[in-house]
Amino acid sequence: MLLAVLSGFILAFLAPWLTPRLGRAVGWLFGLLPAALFVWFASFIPVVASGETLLFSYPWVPGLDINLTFLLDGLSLLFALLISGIGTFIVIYAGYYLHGEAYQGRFYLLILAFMASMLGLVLSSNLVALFVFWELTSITSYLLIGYHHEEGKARASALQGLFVTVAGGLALLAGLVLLAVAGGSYELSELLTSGDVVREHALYLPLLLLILLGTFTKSAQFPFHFWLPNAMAAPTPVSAYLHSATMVKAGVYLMARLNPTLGGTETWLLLLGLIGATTMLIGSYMALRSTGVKQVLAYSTVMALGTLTMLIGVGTEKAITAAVAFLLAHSLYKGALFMIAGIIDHETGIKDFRELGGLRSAMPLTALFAGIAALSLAGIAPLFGFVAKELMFEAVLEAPAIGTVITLFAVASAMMVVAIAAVIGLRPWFGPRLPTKKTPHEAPPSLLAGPAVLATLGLLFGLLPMLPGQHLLSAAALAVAGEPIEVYLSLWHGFNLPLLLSATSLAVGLLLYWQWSRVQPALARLAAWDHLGPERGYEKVMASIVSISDSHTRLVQNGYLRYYILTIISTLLLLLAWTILTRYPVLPSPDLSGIAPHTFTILAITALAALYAVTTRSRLGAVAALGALGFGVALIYVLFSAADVGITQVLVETITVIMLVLVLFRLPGFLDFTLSGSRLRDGFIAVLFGGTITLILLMTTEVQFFPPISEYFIENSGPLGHGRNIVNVILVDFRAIDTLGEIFVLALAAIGVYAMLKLRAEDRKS
Amino acid sequence: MEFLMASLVGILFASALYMMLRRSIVKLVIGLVLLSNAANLLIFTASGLGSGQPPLIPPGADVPVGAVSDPLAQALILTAIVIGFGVLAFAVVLIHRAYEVVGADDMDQMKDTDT
Amino acid sequence: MNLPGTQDYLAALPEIVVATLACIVLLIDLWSNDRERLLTWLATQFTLLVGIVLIIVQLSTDVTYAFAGTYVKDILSDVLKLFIFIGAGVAFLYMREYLRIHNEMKGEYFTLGLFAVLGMMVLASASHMITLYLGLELLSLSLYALVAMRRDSAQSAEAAMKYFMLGAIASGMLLYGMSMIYGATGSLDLREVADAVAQARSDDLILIFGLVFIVAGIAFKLGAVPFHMWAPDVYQGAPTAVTLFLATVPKLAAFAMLMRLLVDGLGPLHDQWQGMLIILAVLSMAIGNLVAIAQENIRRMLAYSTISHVGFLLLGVLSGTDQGYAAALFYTVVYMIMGLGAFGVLVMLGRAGFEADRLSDIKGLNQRSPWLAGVMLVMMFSMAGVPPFLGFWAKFAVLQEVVAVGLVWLAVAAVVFSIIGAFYYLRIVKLIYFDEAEEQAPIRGSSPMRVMVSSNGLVVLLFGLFPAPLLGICIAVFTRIELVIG
Repeated sequence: MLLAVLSGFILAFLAPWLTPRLGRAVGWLFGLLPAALFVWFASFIPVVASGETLLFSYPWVPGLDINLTFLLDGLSLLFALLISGIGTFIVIYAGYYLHGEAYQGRFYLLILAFMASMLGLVLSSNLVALFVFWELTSITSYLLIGYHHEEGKARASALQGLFVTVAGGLALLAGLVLLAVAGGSYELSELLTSGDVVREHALYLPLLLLILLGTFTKSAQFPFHFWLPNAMAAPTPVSAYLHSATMVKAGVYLMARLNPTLGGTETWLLLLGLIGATTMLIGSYMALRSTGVKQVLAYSTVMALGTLTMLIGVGTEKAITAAVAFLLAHSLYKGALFMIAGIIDHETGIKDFRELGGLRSAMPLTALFAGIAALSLAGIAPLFGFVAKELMFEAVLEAPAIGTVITLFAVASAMMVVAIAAVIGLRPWFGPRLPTKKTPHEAPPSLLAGPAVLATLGLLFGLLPMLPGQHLLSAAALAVAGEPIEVYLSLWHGFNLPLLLSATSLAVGLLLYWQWSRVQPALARLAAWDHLGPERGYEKVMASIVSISDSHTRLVQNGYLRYYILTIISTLLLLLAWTILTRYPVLPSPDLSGIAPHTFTILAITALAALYAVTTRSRLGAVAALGALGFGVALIYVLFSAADVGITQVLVETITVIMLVLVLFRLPGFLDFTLSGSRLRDGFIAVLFGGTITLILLMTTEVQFFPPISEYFIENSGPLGHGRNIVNVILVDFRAIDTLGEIFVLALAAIGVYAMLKLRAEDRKS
Repeated sequence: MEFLMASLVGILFASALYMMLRRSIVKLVIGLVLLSNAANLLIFTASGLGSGQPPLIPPGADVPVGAVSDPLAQALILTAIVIGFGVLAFAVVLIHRAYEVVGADDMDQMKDTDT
Repeated sequence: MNLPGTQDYLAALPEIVVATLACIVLLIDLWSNDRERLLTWLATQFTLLVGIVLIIVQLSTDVTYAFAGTYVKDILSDVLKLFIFIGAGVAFLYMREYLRIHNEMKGEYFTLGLFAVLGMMVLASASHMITLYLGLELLSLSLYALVAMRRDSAQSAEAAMKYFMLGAIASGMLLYGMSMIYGATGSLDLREVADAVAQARSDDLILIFGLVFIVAGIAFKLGAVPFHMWAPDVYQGAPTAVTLFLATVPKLAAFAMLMRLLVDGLGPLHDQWQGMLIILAVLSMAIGNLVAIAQENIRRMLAYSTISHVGFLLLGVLSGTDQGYAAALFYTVVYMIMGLGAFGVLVMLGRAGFEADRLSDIKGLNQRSPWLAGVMLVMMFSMAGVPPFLGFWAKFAVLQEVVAVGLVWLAVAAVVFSIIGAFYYLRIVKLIYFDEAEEQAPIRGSSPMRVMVSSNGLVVLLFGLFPAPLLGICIAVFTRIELVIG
């Protein structure tokens, strides 16, 4: 199993090297890998259909208890078959479509890596591994779009698409972490059975919202649907196909996968049901409005994703059956249609439905398969799309609580889908032949293989719905529901309400198509209202972030050092004030007794010297005051029994004053820059700061819990250090290493000074 | 006594901060000198103003006679004074360099990096 | 406590050797006439190599206290030093390339760098507040000087001024906080402080004040909001190679400070500092990510990005569990690797007299050099926290620990800010891959440089695919400490 997932990556990394060496056959040869995978996965169908779940586990990150665990049940098998099966045709298709392009090798690298990531995503049982593959699909598909980017629109939307999916991914990560906390495991295989615990957990709502944020962005659900068609600006239909029909299904997959764990609550029903239905409606409306071949297909994909989300949300037996059937149907017809869109582009060079017509005679086979696939899209008997749509109608009609609303949405959407299907299936092929850039020919086998097989399967499954139904789809439905459900698919359900709805939507849809040349422009004019949509919201949020950032730069990061200092000190004062106020300390009382007059004098002189240094306008005066202050401080040390400190202070102070005199006089004299207002403000802050320090210091000296642990030094200086000056013994014996460090700091300061002076010398030279 | 010392430390810190908030580079240096003195005095006061004698061992004894003031705190202050000096020396040269490159005794000329 | 003996010197052998060799490198540089400073550079790298060997030889889970308890050699200090050596080695390689490109080759860059490494080593091993303060000053002074080293540049001098002034204030705060702790507990030895604090919880106002100052001092060194203002100006004003060094490796030392002061020394006050760190973390993540979006200068942008990463790192620490500390250490190391790579690419884009640091300078990089573009892509995705790159595991590990201690809202906030942050990383990717190149000058760069940048990118990818070894080391560091103490 590990090999099955990783083989795609291995081949991917060989692809750039292999591609130029394989020549024309490259597509067919690379296609062997997904084909082999398809066959291999298919061999599991009997086992899985019997209701068994297979687990494969490989160690990965033991430190975080993360293993690479793969889970094979009906749902993951269905997805794995779709990915490898359709992948086979895509690889073959690309071999011809991109032949001779310089970037073909890198393209294969990305597309094979993408396919492998998708496989990993749907097979992973570990949430973290799942997330890793999830983001890998985002990255690889993003780089796939990155190839052709001559169009300005592509460039603008590239960032948007990536940001929306990556942002959603991060939300998903948080959601998955919370899910693991709530469910007590990172393993899906365990979480699937602990749904009751998770749904009762206090974290249920936040984790649900975060996970849905991830799946909705990935699967382009309203209000995030805007990025997907924008990303469609990528020209290769191959990558466009991957983007719309495979990767985006990852979100749907995860919702289906987690249905047993998270589903069944009202929140789940409302969120998924309503948002899915809205997306479905918007998707079909946007598709009807568009004329670009790929745009129409992309928006109809949005419609399909909405439908699937809605069905998973409804969550009844019927709805789940409908969801898996619809999933299969959509993959078949949409895969075929995207490849046909590529063929049209390749053969005619035209990308707009309005400029296409009458191609039937030039490419009859393509037209035939397009017609079949379009019938399935429209949901017309006897195609498999019809089976799925009937089930969908049945499911929404009996949906709890929101049944009426979503039925209305579904019918409206179905009408438009019929029209879209007609646009795709009829318009390019019938009617008068319109001029084309290139002379169209029938597509070669490598391009036609995919559409032919997929469209035919759509027809075959429609005629024999229990062929996929009894094995694969029932197992998939079982996995989604978390409990056995009966899946019965048939083409003919008798005359009932769903059939009536189908007939109505078919009639209205054909009417819409008949008037398409009028309806489409009318709808397109509504685009003027788009600025009220979510895309605008995205832009507004971005703009407001930039303005927050600007105001931060103006207020805090303005480049003025003194404002930085002011901010830091004010923050600190606030913190301290908050601490003092919330704790009501005993305010220290001034104790002025027993102060010798000479002590008082020295302290007063020191304080006055400081104040003079601050207020004087003469540099010499300031330096002299600093000298006085330094010697005052030295005297204080001596007064309080710290002779060594006092002596050091005298020495240092002398050198400092000399240095200041030497250097400061090379600088210009004081200038009065600041206004009196700012001086007042600075003075206020400074006094506040000084006052706070005094206050805290007093508290410190009043509350001393422990006697200093210096007794050891006092007792052992003599016997061990053989010195009479305890401070000296500490410095050169007990704590010699610190003193060495001190020397290093001084040496370093000297090196710094030296380097600065050398710079200056170099400046002079040059 | 502590009250007076604490007030002195407060005055020194206030003066230092005030000077550091000026535009003139020279005043910044003065603020720095004030700050290092204030910090040292602060440690000195916080460690308890020893009423005892200097931490010296009289000749002929193994331990000092009577209470002595805390030698460890003094060692710390010594370290701080010396390092403060090294830092100050570096600062003065750095400031001089900044003045040379910018060409004015005005901190407000130094906001180039903010673009 | 005894007078220093052989075992004390053995415990501090790496520091002693590096200090000695640093002095020798200084002398070599003074006497060497080589314009390329090859000898100085080789001697510097040799010093780091000797350091690595010494650490590995002495690697053990035993905890040894040396020099009257001022110094500790434990597995945390060993591992931190190893990463410091490796990070510094890579940084010096980039630095040499930068100096060559810009014609600024001076030996002081390497000697000052070595002294900074020494300072970081002392910080990693300090078990006494004075020792810690010394290490910090050693580191800070070297960095101030390095920032000011660019010739003819007002920006460089200005950045150094700001860095120095604010740094001096921060050191002052730290010193003040330490003296208050001393006042309250009567000791500066972190083990004794921890014992005293554990008993003194009833009336702990002074301790809290001391804690506020200490946290403020550390926050400054880390560059956490609201003590972050130096970072953007310094990152932009310093020579790119110096920014590269100072933005990455010293974060390990800052992490060591956090561990030694807050955990080893003031661990019993966890409830108090957890609240402060939460504020710092949330502010850092918010400001860092929001403001980075508006930056036009990549170095400024990376400065804000660093600020936001610091927020994440703090999340791991504030959880207060061994797993949380391990996650924070992992985050720090991962951040260092990513930062080295991102700045390494910037160094390669520059040429004489021209620092490539505007967003427009990297437009269309994919057309100029697909390989370099790939490395930058890996770094940006990794910084944004997108798997399968290393940065993802760092974010994941931290988030998991925060959730594990019940701070769910904090984890959610962290994710929200990361989402905002993802935008500007992805914008770089977009500029590289989707925009037309404005700059057409060919990208040169010596072959060691190319190899280094490439392997830097590969490390982020490979460790991203197999994070177990690196993460395992970080976890082992803390679980073994636990074993020894408990």
